[in-house]
Amino acid sequence: VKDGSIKRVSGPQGLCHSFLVRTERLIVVSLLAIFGFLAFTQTAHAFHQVNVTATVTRVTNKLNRCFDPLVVGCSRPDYYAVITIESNSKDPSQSCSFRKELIENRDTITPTTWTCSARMENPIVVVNIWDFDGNKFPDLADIVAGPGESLRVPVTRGTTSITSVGDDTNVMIIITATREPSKLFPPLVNQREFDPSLNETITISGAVDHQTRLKIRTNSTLGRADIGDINVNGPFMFVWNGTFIGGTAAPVAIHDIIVAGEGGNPVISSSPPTEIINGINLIKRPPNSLAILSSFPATKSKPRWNPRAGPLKLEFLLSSSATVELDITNGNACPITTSLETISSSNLNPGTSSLSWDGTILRGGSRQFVPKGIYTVALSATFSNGLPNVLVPREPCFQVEVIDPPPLEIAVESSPIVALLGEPMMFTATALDAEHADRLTGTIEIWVADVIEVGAHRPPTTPVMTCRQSSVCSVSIITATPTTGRVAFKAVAHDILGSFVQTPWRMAEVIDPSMIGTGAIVMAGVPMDFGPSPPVEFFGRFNQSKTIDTVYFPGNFDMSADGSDPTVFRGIVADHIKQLWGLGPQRRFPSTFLANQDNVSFWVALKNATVVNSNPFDPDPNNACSYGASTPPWSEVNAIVHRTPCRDNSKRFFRLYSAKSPLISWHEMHHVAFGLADEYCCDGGYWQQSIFPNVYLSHVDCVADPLSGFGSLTCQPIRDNNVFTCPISGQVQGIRGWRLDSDTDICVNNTPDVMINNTIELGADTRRASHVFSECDQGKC
Amino acid sequence: MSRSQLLLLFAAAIVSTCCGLRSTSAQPAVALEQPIPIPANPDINAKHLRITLHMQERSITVEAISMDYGRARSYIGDPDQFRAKLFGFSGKVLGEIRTWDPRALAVYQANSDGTFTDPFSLKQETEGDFFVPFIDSLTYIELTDRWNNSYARIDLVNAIQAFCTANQFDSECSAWLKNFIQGSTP
Repeated sequence: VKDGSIKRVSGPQGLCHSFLVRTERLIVVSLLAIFGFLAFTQTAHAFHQVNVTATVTRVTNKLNRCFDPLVVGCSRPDYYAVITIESNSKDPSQSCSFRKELIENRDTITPTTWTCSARMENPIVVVNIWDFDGNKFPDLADIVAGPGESLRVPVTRGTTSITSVGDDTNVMIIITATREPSKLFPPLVNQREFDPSLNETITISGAVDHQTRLKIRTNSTLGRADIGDINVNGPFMFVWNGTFIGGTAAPVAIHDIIVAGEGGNPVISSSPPTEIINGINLIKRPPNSLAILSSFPATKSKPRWNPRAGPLKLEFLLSSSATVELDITNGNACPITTSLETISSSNLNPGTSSLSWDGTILRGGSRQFVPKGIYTVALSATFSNGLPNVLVPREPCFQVEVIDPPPLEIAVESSPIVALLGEPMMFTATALDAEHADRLTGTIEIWVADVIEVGAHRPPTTPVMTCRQSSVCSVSIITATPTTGRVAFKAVAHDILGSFVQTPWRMAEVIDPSMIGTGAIVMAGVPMDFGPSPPVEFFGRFNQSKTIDTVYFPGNFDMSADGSDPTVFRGIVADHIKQLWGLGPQRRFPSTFLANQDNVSFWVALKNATVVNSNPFDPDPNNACSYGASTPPWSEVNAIVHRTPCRDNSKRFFRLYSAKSPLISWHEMHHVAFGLADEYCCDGGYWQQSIFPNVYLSHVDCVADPLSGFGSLTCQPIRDNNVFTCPISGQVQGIRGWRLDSDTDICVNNTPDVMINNTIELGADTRRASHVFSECDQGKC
Repeated sequence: MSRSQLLLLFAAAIVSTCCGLRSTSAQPAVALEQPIPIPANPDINAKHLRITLHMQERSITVEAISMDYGRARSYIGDPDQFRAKLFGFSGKVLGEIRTWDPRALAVYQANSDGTFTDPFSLKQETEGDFFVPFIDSLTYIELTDRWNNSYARIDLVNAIQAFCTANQFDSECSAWLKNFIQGSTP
């Protein structure tokens, strides 16, 4: 498009920009309409306005005698002039008479003030010279050929000197004519940013009130140059394609566009009529690009994805407007040629966007989750400007492995385990898979309630926190209860149209600090015996006959309310509980305690229990911890949590043990709560439970166990690795017993087993624990 | 396979057990009798007896006996190392508790590889509280080992009488007192 031509500009670049452009267009169109109307109505008169000045500079009497001999007393002429400036247009004539400047009795005069000015289109200067003979008889001097004719001079631009020779009088006049500058209305621009290399232009719209010549120039930090020189009349549009006159490309810079009308000065921008459009950004747009910013699941190495835990999601960055598609097909199929499913989003704005696939396809009229397997996912974009694309990565196409939903467990903890009045409490729910690794879940909810409130028929109706597509969900509550009392909490986890698990409502106490140091034993996670659908009055009930109740005692802690030890103690107990759930902090593994959490209660004693080294000066085994505590009659387990340098020990008849480490609690709980025997050699405790033992004292009994030979489980001797040679079978003197938890001989070091090295529960351990918990379910705990 | 089936298989398979506190070769066979279950009492009026024991070698002495409200702990998961038989007025066995040996002690020992073991032994002397649930017409308990060798017979009548006299409006206490006044003796 050449300068000065009118062209439809390219489309808007974005919603906001589009709005601005539309607004500017509207104004331009309005102006064009107005000036178009004016232009139409004034077409016939669309001539130049001219400022004209006519000056009579000399008048000479050619007769060299009196001017009118017929008149008595004839004397030299008394000249005066009448200058009229008239037009053949509708402009009214301008007439100037200079009788007051009468100069009497002079044959030649050179007036200096006989000047007449006017502004009109196509003016004609008409001059008449008169000899004043009194008001009644003025004589018209003959200043052109023919008597009584006026001197008529069409005006031309510039300064013209004319000498007219008449019959009796010569007259000299000087006519100066200049064109009147046009009024220039402030021009508008349709957009302030354009990239000429993409054939983008800007359109400057404006109007002048009469035909004029416009010079258009840019001014930037890199210099200035003309970009247009156009003749316009009325409304005009100037399309700039980013080049100077002559075709040189304008530099990438911010340009001020100066529009100067005739009479204005395009260099001196303040000289009217001149208008400036500031800040036109001539840019070089980067290539179209689509870059993946993040993805779930990660795009690396065929991630495993359970769609029921939440959608596959790709977040990406677009350089400009585009329609983006997410194509899915089964198998390894990069690039995708035939899609199983396409998720599309059109006209996405530049910037960050995302697309998700929920793992379903339309089948049989309804959306169904795809079966497990390998699927290929590819992202593509079609940019609005139709230019080539740059994709990051070059081929945003990858595979995911859709898996069936893994097993799902949920644990919930409170921190602190027992709150002081006014102390914030954080509740954390963790969704776990079969190995107790964090497990992404569709939804995790945390519910919190004040037991008193619920008992007063104000049960919670919504969770206090809902987390989606997450494995851990936390919420901190400033005041769980307004007064001392019991706060109840539970967690719910469920996949989308899939597994649903929940913890029981557990209760923890909110105590007045003054209780610290007293003999009180308070709840630190006691499940309610709420039943499936009891009245809300039952909220807060618990049944210790159904739970294994563990009390944690502070061993050598300064249990005064104003010290830090109570907080430290509560934190350590929280770690012991966490380990019992199989959530660390030392190790993570599946836990029958968590699997049967309805039957597990935790309590905290607030009074310190003294722990001393029974004989710190003697070597092992005499430096066992010596301790005592007034245990409640109802607790199945009493743990003294301490930091004293002495050897932990357990008095199982009295249900009392000391523990510096959560893993000691983990191991000891399997002795005390389930009666499991040690499975390592050679100084542990070995006995054979009458029901579901984990250790047999005879090989015959062991092989008779249905677990023996089940899968890979065989009866293995518990015996000293240094004495016997593997494998060993049959009754052998010196063997402590037989275990059937694994086909791994005890000869192999580090055999993982809770009763060997405090790690995972194996088949016989789990069987025994489950038996005990089933007894608890029947109220026998 | 159901749990009951497994139980049956175990019952058929296990012909002898031994406590593990002695060498396996020296243990006499023990009949696989089941303990007499103690009725569960989830009632909030459950009561218990606290018996403070002192045990030295095989000798047990009772330091104190008291009774109070509150349920007694369960012994559901315990190994069969020590037994407490609960007797009523007529000498009827009301129930049996099978639990750990009072002298059982496991002292943890840290190993150089970061693991630990819990060597098991029997202390020569020990002392602590043993909790027994109050049921029916309980009058005394007999403490034995798993081979029913008696260690001690503990008369609970005085402790129960004192508590129940102070709590006559408790239905279980009034029933017990009624039996006691009618002349039933252990």
